[in-house]
Amino acid sequence: MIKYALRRIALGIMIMLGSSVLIYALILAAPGGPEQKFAENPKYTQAQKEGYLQSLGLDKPVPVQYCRWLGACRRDKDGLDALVGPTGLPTFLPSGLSGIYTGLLHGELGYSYANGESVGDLIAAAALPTLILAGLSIVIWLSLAVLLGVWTGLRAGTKFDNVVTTLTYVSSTFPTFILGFMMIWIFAVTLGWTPVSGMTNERLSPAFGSDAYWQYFAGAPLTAIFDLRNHLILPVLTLVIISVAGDSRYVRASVIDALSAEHVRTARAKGLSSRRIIVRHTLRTALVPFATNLGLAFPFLFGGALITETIFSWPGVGRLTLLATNGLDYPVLMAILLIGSLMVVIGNLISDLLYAVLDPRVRL
Amino acid sequence: MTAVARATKGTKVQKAESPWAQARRRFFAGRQGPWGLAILGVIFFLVIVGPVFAPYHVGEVPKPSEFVFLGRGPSAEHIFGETAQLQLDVFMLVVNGGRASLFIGFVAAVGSIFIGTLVGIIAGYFGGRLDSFLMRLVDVFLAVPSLFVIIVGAKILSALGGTGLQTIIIVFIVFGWMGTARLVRGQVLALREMEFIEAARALGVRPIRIAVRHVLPNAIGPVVVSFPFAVGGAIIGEAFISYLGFGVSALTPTWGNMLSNAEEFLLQGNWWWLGFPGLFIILTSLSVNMIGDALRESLEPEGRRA
Repeated sequence: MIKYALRRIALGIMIMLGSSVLIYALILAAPGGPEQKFAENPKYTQAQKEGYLQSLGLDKPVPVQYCRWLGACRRDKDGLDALVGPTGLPTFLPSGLSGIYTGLLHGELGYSYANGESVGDLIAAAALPTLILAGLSIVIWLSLAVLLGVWTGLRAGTKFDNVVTTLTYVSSTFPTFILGFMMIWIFAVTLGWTPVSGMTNERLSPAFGSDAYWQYFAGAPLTAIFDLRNHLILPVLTLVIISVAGDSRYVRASVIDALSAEHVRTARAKGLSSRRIIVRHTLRTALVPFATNLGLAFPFLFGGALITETIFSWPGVGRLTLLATNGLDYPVLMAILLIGSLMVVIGNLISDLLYAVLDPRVRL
Repeated sequence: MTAVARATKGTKVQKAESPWAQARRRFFAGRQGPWGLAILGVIFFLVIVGPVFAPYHVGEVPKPSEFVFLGRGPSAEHIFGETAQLQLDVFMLVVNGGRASLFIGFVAAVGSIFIGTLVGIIAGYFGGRLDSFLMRLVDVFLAVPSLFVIIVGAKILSALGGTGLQTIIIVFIVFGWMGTARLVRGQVLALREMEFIEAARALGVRPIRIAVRHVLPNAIGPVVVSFPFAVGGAIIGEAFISYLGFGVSALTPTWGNMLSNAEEFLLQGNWWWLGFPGLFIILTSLSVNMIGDALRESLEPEGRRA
């Protein structure tokens, strides 16, 4: 088990290194680098250009630039010396050991081109709204999926099952953003039950996440929470409707499988009550594969709500991504893509390990 | 004359149904498949010959009889209504935009599935170092969150000057081949050990020929199943990205970039501008999903769930 876990972690680190290369290459191909500054201004002399590029380290070969960005090379040394920190230990080790503080590996994500703010701060500020929206949606849709899946699985073939299965099937094929527009049109514009978009009522409260907002929140917590709830209804509903179908179908199929399994037949032959058979023998076996899916929900917490956030102007990671894409704000984009990949890799790791723990047959 | 011979005398020897014929029969016996095809067929029909039904010539934009800034709802003259601002005919926009959207969907799906199949066959058939390199490459591409990287990629390509259909097609192919590659590799790995492949190898058939003639036709089932889903994914993806303004420029109407102007007028009650392209996107998505699920059930009956 430990060997398996270590192997999976090593593979995860390799994949992360690979995706950092991919992301770096993508941004390298993009227009609008520091040279752009000179392209528009003929007054700069050749020496000034070279000095500027040199000060940013852009005169070095691309692999060296990548290595420095990653933090595995020192910025003040060249050649093999760059790989060893002032403490004599390799530079890729944590700052406390290597004495190096630059680069991704040491938590330096850089500064936004747009406003000079620290990328880490920008992402942290956007991550909370996304976490609230995506987290709430995941909790609702997973519980609803288990409920619907078990319910329809136990009644497979009945009219009720047919209606629910067809409805969830059709709704799951809806593109998220179209469903979002429909929600806005029906509930916000026509019926006027909910706000159209945003996270807070701008007339009453300061922007979410600012210091002023937390003061307002402390002053009138109930009003603030109700306001938040009103703004959450439509985006959460959208995410739940889109995502519940796949998982509930999955649970339904596992329940049907489990009902025809031999140990359930044995339990029936023993004369156990059907309630006991369902709870102890069917659901337990049926929900194990579902539990391992939970790891896959992990990256969703960071990047799963991109479309929904866009449609509902939710001030989260998705919207930050769009703003940064629009303004070609590469430090922000690189950081978001990297954190997104990290979440995917960690999510896969959790799911694989959980599977190995829950299903002894995998532990070879 | 023995009893068996007597019994078989009058009946013709029946040729065994080929696997493809069986699959076709199962596909058309169900409800999902034919309905999905019918819906998609109607959409195709409208999009391709739609202009013929328009009550005016394709080339000329009919002058609105009355100027209304918010546009006008569906009428006999403009069956899908008129847009706000320029007061364009929504039906013509949907029809013309649909051609671009469907084109993008099909070309992107064919391209990414072609590359994925190629990579999968190479990795699975030749194995070894090449296989592990290609599979790690798949892992890396799959790790980067796809929608994010597709948006960034589309923006970068269009900032470099490509605002046509090709931008979005390239991005979808570059970030869309991995699933197929993994699928095909798995199939090929299983097939490689089978006896008929061994027999071909023993006869001295060249590896390329074995791969193309013997492995590919037997590995293609799951790829066929994934095709409609890929088409749907690309159409919806294009719509979302063009809606954001990072994809196809507004000079070429698509279902996606129609939405980006329509959104702000939705709040003022102008539902037809956004509603009709939206409806077509939903119907396309629904029909390709139905076709894909029906294909899965008819091509992989052993994997069929109750």
